[in-house]
Amino acid sequence: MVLCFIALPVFALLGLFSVRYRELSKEAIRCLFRTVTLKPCDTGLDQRIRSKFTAKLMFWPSLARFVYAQFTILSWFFVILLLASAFFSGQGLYNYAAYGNCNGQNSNAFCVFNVVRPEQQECTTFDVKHELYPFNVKTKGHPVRGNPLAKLTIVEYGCYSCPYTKEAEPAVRQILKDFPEVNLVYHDVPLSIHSNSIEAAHAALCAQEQGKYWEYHDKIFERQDKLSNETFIAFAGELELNVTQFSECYSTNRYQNVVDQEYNDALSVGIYGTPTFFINNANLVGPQKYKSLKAVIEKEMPR
Amino acid sequence: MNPEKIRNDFLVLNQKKPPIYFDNACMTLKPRQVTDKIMEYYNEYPACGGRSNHRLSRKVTEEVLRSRRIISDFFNTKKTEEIIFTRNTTEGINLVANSIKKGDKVLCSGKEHNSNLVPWLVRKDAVHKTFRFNDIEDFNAKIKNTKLVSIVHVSNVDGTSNNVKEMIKIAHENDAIVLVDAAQSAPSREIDVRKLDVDLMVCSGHKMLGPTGTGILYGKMEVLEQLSQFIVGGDTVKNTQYDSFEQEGIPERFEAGLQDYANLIGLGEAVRYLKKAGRSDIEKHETRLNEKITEAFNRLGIDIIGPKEPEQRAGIISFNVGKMNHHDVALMLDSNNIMIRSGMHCAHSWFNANNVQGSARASLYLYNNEEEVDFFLEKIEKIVKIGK
Repeated sequence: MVLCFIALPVFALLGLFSVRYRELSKEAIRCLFRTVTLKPCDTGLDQRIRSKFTAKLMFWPSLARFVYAQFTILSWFFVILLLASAFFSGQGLYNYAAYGNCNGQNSNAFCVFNVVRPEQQECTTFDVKHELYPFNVKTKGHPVRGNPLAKLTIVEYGCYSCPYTKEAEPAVRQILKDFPEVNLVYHDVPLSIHSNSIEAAHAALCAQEQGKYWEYHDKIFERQDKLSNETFIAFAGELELNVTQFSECYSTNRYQNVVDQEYNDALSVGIYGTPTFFINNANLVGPQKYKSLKAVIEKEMPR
Repeated sequence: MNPEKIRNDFLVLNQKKPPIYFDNACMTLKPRQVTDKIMEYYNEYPACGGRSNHRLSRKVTEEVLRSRRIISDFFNTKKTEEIIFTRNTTEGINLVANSIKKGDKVLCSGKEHNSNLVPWLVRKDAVHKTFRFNDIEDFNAKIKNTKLVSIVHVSNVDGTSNNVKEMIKIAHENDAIVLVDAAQSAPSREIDVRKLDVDLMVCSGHKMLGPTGTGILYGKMEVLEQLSQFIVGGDTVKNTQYDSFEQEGIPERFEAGLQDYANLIGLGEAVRYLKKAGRSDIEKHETRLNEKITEAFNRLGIDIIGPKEPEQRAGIISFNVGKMNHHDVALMLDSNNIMIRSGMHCAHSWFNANNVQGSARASLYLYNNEEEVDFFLEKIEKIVKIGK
């Protein structure tokens, strides 16, 4: 009865919560022992499992007949699947414990263990979380925040209307304050799921034209819940920009090609959600805590 | 008899999704009247019977006596005292087996429950012989010098019957006494022990709507007087000295220790209920349902153990679905809320002798109805397809 290989861990786990399953796990242990010693299971557990499975499929007699007749082969198939999945889970757990990523050192692939961490939430329009391509990241010609001669650059892909990008802002600013040898390059990826994200991208570039990109950047995040055409103009006034020039720039979408280019660049990097951070080849997706950013920076900082 | 009305008396059948209970040869369900009677003892007079002189004790004694009278009347015994309370059929047979003497020949049929086989086998000083089930010729050939014939009335394996009336006649002509195991027949067959002229008869309460842990041993008074005491102690003696005792009369001498008064009183109520329902009507009802099942089984090509005619099997249908394991059949039905028995039904000797691995067994009773049978057959049809 090969299915006892699966039955044992399942019943043992359930047995933590119910006495009924403890008895079943004892039967599974006995069956397992007898199977390993090439003897037939004598507890009836195999029959009960096979019959229960088959009975559940009685609405489809052909399928039920197949399951009943080929139960041993199907059991082997599931046992192999279990062993393979146990192997890969173990490997993932080891990687997670050793490198903080279940896919191994320096991997930027999606890690299931991270998904429950708050910092792994992100704004996205993409269904599939996939590999990122840090070698496509561009920094040249982009506004830089912090020391222009810094040894290490954080490249952030964010969206002005994304709440998670806003959530990451304090940690990023604190990092720049605590690490003078680190600077920041921000790429705007206006996601269509948010209202006013594209307008915000345009407005920030119009502010850059007047040399106040970062001030305008901060203003947008400060007032993220009140973004509109009117507030974008108002922000310009508050930052003592030339409002007429700003309004003309904003209303004519002067930097449309830059906005489009930025978005296409983000796609080429494989961005599937904002914020995404690159620090050298390491990447972090989601609103990172100060501690997480600091750990990567300390690791990546040139000696 | 109206099964639908009867079903109202069984709480378990009035649940939101009641079980389809076809395991009545093992254990029957209990009507509300029986459980109420049991609770009446615990709530109103939970005292010793036959010992103390207070009001509650007298009430217990009266109720147990009432129960004994109902049972006596049910089987038409000559005297109420001929009814001995036991825990079950097995205990009744063991009580009789305890009186077998060295060299006594005991004749049983070849389709006995372990309870009517092992008590004789453990008596290594006795001679145990077997005749072919319901084969009068073989019975006649082996009856000579037999001290005791111990035979099942209705077999729990397949519902077939021994011709006990004829066998009792032949046994008496050969100076043998007869013990009939009526565990399967008492719940649904009219049994008149005087007409049958049976010497000893045993049955269980739990198979006839009664509480668990109750059984009946009937014996003609002159036969009971010949039996040795089995379990002894309190209530089985009138008086004792340091080196001797004076045994009680019958039935007390066979009912040692404090009795299960609540359940014995409940057993009387169960027998009363059965008498009211009418055993011949119950038997007819079982046969009618069995006819429907048998007809469908024949159409589906299912192997029925025993005769093809349902009237010869009353409420029992023992069967196998092709090469499918009988336990698998029972477990699949269980997943569909249908309860039947599977295995060798405590009659391993017959299955081993006939080289049969076991069987699934559906057994019917007075509260089962056609709707349940239809649902059972619908599921069986699917199981047949799975087993093909």
